[in-house]
Amino acid sequence: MTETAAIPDHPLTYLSFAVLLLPLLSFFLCHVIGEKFSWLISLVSTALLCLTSLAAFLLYQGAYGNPESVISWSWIKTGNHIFEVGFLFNDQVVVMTLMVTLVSALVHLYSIGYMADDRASKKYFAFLGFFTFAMLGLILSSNLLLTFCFWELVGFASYRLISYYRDQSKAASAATKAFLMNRVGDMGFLVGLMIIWSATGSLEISQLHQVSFPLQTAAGLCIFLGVMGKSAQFPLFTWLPDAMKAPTPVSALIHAATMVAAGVYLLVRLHFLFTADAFVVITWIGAITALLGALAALFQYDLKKILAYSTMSQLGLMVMAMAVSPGASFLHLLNHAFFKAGLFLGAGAIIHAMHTAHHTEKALDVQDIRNMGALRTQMPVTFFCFAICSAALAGLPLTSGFVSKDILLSHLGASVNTLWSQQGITMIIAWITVFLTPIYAFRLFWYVFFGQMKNDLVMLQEAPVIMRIPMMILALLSLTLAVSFAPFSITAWASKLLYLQTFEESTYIPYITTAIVILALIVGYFLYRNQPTRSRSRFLTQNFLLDSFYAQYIIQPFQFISGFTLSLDKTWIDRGIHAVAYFQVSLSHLAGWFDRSVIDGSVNLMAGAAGRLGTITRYLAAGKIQTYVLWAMLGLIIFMIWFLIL
Amino acid sequence: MLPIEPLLYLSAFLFSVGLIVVFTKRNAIVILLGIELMLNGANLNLVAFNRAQPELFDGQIFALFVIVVAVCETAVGMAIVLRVYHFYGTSVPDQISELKEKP
Amino acid sequence: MQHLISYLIFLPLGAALLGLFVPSDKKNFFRLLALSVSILQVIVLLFIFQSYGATDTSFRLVEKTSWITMDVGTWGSFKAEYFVGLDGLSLSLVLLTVLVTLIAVIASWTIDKQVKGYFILFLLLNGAVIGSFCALDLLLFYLFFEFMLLPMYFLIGIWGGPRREYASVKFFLYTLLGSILILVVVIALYVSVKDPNGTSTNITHTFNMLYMRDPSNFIEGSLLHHTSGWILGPFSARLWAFLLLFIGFAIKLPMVPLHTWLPDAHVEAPTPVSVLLAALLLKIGGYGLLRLAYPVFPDGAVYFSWLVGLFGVISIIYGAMNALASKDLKRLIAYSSVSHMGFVLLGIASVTVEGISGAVYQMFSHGIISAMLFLLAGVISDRTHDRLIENYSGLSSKMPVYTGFIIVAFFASLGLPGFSGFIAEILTLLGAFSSQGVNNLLPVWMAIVATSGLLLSAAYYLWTIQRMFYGRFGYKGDNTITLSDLDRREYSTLLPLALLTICFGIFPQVLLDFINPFAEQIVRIVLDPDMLNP
Repeated sequence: MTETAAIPDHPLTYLSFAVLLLPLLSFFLCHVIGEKFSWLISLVSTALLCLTSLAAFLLYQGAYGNPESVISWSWIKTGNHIFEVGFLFNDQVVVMTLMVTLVSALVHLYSIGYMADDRASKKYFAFLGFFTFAMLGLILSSNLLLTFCFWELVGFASYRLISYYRDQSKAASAATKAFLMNRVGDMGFLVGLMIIWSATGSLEISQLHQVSFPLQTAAGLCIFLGVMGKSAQFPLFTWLPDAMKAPTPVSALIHAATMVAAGVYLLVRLHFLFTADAFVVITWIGAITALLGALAALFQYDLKKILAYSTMSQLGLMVMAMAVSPGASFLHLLNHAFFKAGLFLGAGAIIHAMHTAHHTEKALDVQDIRNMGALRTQMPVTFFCFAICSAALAGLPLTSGFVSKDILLSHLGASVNTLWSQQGITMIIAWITVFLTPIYAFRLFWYVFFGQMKNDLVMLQEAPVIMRIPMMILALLSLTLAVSFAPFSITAWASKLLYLQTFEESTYIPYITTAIVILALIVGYFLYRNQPTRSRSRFLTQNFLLDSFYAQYIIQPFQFISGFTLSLDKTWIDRGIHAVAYFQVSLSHLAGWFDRSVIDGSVNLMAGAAGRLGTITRYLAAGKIQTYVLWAMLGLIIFMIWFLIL
Repeated sequence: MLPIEPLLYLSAFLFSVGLIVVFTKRNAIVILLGIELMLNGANLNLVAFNRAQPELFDGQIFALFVIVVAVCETAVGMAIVLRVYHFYGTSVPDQISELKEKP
Repeated sequence: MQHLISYLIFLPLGAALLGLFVPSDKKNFFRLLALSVSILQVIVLLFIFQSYGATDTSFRLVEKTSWITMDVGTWGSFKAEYFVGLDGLSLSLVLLTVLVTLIAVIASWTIDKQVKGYFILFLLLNGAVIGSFCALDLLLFYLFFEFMLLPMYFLIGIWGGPRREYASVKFFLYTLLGSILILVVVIALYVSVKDPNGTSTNITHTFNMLYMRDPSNFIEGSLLHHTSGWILGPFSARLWAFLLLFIGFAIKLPMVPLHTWLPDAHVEAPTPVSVLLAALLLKIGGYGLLRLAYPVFPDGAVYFSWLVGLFGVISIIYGAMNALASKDLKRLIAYSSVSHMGFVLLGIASVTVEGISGAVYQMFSHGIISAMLFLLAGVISDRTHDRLIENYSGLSSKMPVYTGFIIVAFFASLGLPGFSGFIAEILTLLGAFSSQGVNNLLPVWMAIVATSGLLLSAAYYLWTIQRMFYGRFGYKGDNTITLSDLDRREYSTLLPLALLTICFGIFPQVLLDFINPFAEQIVRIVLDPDMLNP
């Protein structure tokens, strides 16, 4: 069952191995390099990742535009079934690979500066490399089982990176929460895999294109459960804001650009597997997620949490459009990766600067945007990059975000027949989200870079060069030129890139979007220009009370049940065994009593009787001569009588 | 011929009396007397049966033997009783019970 | 080379005998003796692998000599043979035994009390375990099976923790109860099976397990023949036999609700003994089911498969819930063992090739991983004699290498891909899930519910890591004890295990090549329609 379609060149195999294994090499080297050369670690791993990007670019050159091809080897053989591992190349795969390696390399570069003060950054770079390896494995794999393996490994890397700051117990609990929520999704993924496997006998992605089997909707929904966990869809999203405890470059890489995008990527890849019914559910959940994310971002004060919710909202948008146009979602995925990573890196620069300036004041929350203001004068480069990326997020023209969002909305709009149908309502939700996004983006931007200068902020310094370069590159990639030649046209060369459906020019959508964005910006300006710091309801600021819901209705019952089962074990089951044991012992006591008194007793009885008999007959030999004579005579007389008469 | 039944009764009586004397008397010498009585009773029995068959002399001859044996036995017995009395200080057989098992 | 299996079995037994004559104050002699025996066993095992040959279904390296032959007058002759051999199942488990015993010997280096007795019992246990994995004559198997109990009783009862007497007595009597049930079936089988090589007039009974697989070897009219009309209650004799065998082996597995000896035995046993208990003795249960219960009584297997699967799922969930509530680290790991052995039961119940391969792989993988887990628990409890999780926090700052191994072990145990546990669990789940379509024995919901076992294991392991290793360093106990990181000896026990589990997670086919023929054979035997309705 090994399918080796026409492989364009032989180097492709080696290239793909290079792409996959160089980050793993980084992981090993980071562990192996000893204490003496620890300054070398960051440089080595960054260099390796840059090499990986180069290899990914070559891979892209080699495989783009060619039909889908697979290279695989058999891995597990049981009975008649073989599970294979291998690489699958098609356009989406190589583009995604390129994006991931590029972002990872930029984050590595950035981290050299960001983690310069941290002496124990060995594990950090090791797991950044490992994460990249796992993510690339996920993208390149040809078999769903292998995808699942890398899916979980990505979660593992995320766990290690979120809990990087070892002495913060909140980081550890955030990591646990992330992993567990991902695991809930993974369970669904696994069940979906099982359904597919038992129905079709194979998990090779290339062989699943034309299948149709009875439980397909269920399988699709189960796999979507996995996507929900990984891509922070409602209701499995509460781990994402908490995951911001990780170092900021990690958030940039994992929780903005790549890992959370893995779910969306999977949907794009397996698009053919989902039935229309499954897509109804998917679209609704995406819509709800988009809306809730945008709402939550509006009321947060933590810099990174705003970005986290924004990520969640954008992911929801991508998922929502999956039914009508996976290509549009994919384009938005790519763009989002770049501008969101840029935003996170900018946030990291700000946090880094705040930290170095305020490291004596522990009480100051460096991530609270209420403590920031007018940073545009202190940190101009950051300001500039941040501005471009925020514009992309908001969907202003001249940015890549604008293009992809418009494509997305066009496709959504094209599928709507009547306004109050399912498509219509989700379309409305999408527009609302598009309206809200610039508002919170503006809010963030305004609070941080404009407004009043707070007391000690004069000492803030711009980020070091090594941190500025990645930010600038990402900002560059957030401009329109990255995806399209004409600012207002949605027939971008990128859409040709992804074989998207192109319309006849129903060009009203870009103009509507621009209008909405500008309106939103104006609304935002008026709402936030005075930086009111009113506190909002708990509902809106604490994950819509989902966390307490989970804690009360899921975690507590589980703990109760597990305590119950433990006591069941200790009291009932063990008591039962002890009862058996005691019964056994009592039975043996009974037997012992029986032995002693009845059996032994009868033996003793006989001995006693013999003794008593002896005592009686002892009188015959009492020591008196005359009694001897008497008895002798008596005996003789009886004897004689017996013989003579009888 | 004289009927011999009364003689037999008498000898039985004498024998029984002698037996009872042996059983019940406390003095060793009286026990010896009782033994003499038993012997005499046996003698009388022998002679009485001899009278029933006068042509044989067995009874009378045997009675003579018995008298001699009785004399010897009495002499020896007396000697023993005297020695015992000398050793134990008493002639009551009940008090000479060293062979008795202690309860 | 000949008689390789006998070398494997009798090397430790002979060494134990040798050790009896050495005075007990030469402690190092015994340690070195056990270590050299283990190393020799590894070498013998290498020879075995070399001569193992093709991967078909026959038994390899078979040795068969007559052992007990007694003429019992009118009842014919009583015959038992020394019959050992290896196939895929036993080879995997023998490999596990040899490796884990070597590690356990190194871990036992620090035992200081009554060293002579300890190592002699250890060697006896070693020989007995390998013997029971290789024996193909039922009496020989039972002999070795029983033989394992006594060294374990003493090992726990003398070198254990505060409640060791209770734990060892409970362990011994509980598993002995299981052995008695098995003995009943052994006797019944002996009486019912005849040697096909004998003549028809002089029927010789046999203990040969291979002959028992063939239903034509059963004597007409005997108790366990198919047509025997012997019925007690709801089941026929054959079903009762399967049930008794199942319960006997399930006690060792352990299966809920017959599992409560395990937490106590593990908590009280010293570290290397826990390692042996978890890694080896639990596998005898699964091995017995696959070697004895399933091939000889396929009708019983099919009849009870739903129940077996149900109990497997219950074990998975119940064990995981109990682990979640445990406050003691070793107890948590013990309950997680219960949970993982539930996967074995589920895989066996599914009677599919994937399911059974998964079950055997899980036995192997769990052996390695639980050895690692108990060694890690022992690291902490050897230093402080305090196993309560809540007394520790932030250990990663003081003991980074230890934390690294904990992460490896915990994630391996919860089934992260890249480790052997994942392969085992995925095969088992796929097998269980497909069982409805393939042989209609297990419903689909069992596999789905079992998947939640993965979530629960992640929950308790991660929660433990979070409580014990992250955060600020603190130890609520005797402050004079320094918590030092792993020393070289402990490191040398843990590193090979970690490498093994990664190796078998990435290259599963190494072992699956051996297990596959066996799994296919078992499925064929159990589902063969001629066997079920002769």
